[in-house]
Amino acid sequence: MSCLARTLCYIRRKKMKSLLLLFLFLVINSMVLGTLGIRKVSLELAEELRKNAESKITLESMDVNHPFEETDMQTIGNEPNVNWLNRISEIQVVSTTCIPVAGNEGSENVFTIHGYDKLEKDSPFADKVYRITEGNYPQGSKDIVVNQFLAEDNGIQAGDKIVFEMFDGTEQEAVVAGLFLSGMERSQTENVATVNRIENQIYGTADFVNKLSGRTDFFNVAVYVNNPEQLTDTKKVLENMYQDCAAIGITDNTFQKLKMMIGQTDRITFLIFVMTVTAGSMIIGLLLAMWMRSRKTEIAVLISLGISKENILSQMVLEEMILYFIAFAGAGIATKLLLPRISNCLAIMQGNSITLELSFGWQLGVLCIGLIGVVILTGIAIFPYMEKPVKETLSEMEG
Amino acid sequence: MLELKNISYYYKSQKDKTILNHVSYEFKKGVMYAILGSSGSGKTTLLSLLAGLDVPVDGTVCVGGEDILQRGLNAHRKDNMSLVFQNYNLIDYLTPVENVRLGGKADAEKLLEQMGIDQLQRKRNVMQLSGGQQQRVAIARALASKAPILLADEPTGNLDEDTANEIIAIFQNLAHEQEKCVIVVTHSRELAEQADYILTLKKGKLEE
Repeated sequence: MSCLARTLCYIRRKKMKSLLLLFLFLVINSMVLGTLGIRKVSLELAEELRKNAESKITLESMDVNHPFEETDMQTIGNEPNVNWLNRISEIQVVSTTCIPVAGNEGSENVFTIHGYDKLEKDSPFADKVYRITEGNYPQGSKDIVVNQFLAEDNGIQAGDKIVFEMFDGTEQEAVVAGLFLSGMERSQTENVATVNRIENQIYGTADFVNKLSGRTDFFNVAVYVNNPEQLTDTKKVLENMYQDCAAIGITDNTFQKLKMMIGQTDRITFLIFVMTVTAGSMIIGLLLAMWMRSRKTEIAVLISLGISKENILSQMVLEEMILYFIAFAGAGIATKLLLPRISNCLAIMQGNSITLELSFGWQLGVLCIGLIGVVILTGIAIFPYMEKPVKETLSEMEG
Repeated sequence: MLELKNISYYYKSQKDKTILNHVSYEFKKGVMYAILGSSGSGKTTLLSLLAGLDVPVDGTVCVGGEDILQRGLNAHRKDNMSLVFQNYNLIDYLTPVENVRLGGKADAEKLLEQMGIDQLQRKRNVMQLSGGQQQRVAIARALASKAPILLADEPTGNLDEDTANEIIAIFQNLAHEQEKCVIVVTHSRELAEQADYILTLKKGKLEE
């Protein structure tokens, strides 16, 4: 009678033992796959967060004689942890086609133009204090966004052009890409200078502002990093470079807040994983040890019948492996069905597009490690009875 | 056929207490032997040595002139020996047919039929059979290997008189009709007297 035939007979006929072991394997596998699913998502979230946390270092030149030149930009940009730079510039400029919303005091037709490489990242638009009500953020080098009240007063619409006077007296056209509102226009006092009124603030690209001013340098730069966890190290590097001429600050509130939450989820899932594997291994190990003890006679009889120890060991291992495999498949289906529901229950997942599921590679890993664990536990449980002289076992039985 | 050559045995923890002391004997095929001895005389030890379940401290066990250690104990157990135990030692999750198939490739159904196990009983759980029926299954399993030597350790110890007589008759038949060497270890003089030869194990010596 072959090893496989004996294995199948054992599983079929020893129903209670097989079902109990199957149930235990199912529970353990479900918990392991579930916690790994959550852990995988928390790791992915942490990675996403690192990429999109927008942690940054702000550099502000303190010396008018030492602005940040293009070479500085290249040096900073070459730092390993630096992702990209948002150059920031500002200029007060006269328009020949547009009249500002007047305050009590101020210069005629003077506007403040703020330039950003990415307006939506570091300007008042970043905090959603200012919002685009019509059109888009500046895309092209001549695009600007103007206040809706200024646009209404001057009859400007998205797509219209405004002419500004450049540093050398020549004129430069800009295209209105969008209109914005801050919500605070009405709350300004009459004492605010015309050039400082919200309505007279115009936002464009950093290159456009520099074109108007005729400069090639910048007084403010926001340095965005790849890995927020190395933000302090990068700051130290920049401090060494610009210690005397720039004020350097860091902003990574978003990352710090979410990092704590994700770190907590990660630690909890890891703890559940370790506890499940440890407790599961102990319970399965003890059960197998107990059951193998009751099978020592069977082992002795099979040896006395001339069946090799390897064959007997294979039978016992195969029994547990088949049950484990069935349980794993069941757990896989269960977690596949349940994980999306669990993900809906987790507050951390709300509004996130990442779905709670395990990749094939992870599942295969769990299956392989589980099978190896089963082989080891069975081997440990059966070892004493394989080593024990058959004569002793049979003598014990015969009394 | 089966030869004990100057066999000595003692437990390693009790070297001063010799179980078997320079025992030599040759068992022949077609003969039924009974080995008598009181409890603790070394009957089961001798049987274990013959079956290749243990190895002697000194001396050799030979089958057909070949040392069983040279042949390999596992091969010896598989090809030369078949065992019948007092407690039957059937595998409880197998049917009688499957238990017999463990012994070898012989026709299990036919063997069980010869042993008087009907078709219905052959498909039942082996533990649901009576003691006598279980012992018959155990004998059928021993015969399935077609090994030339059959060793039985107290085969009728748990059986009533009638069933015991039936089992003895089967052993006699195996020895005389099928030319097997049947060695029965027992402390029952009644059973021993039905064997062709009675050997007594006393103070570590085997006497005819």
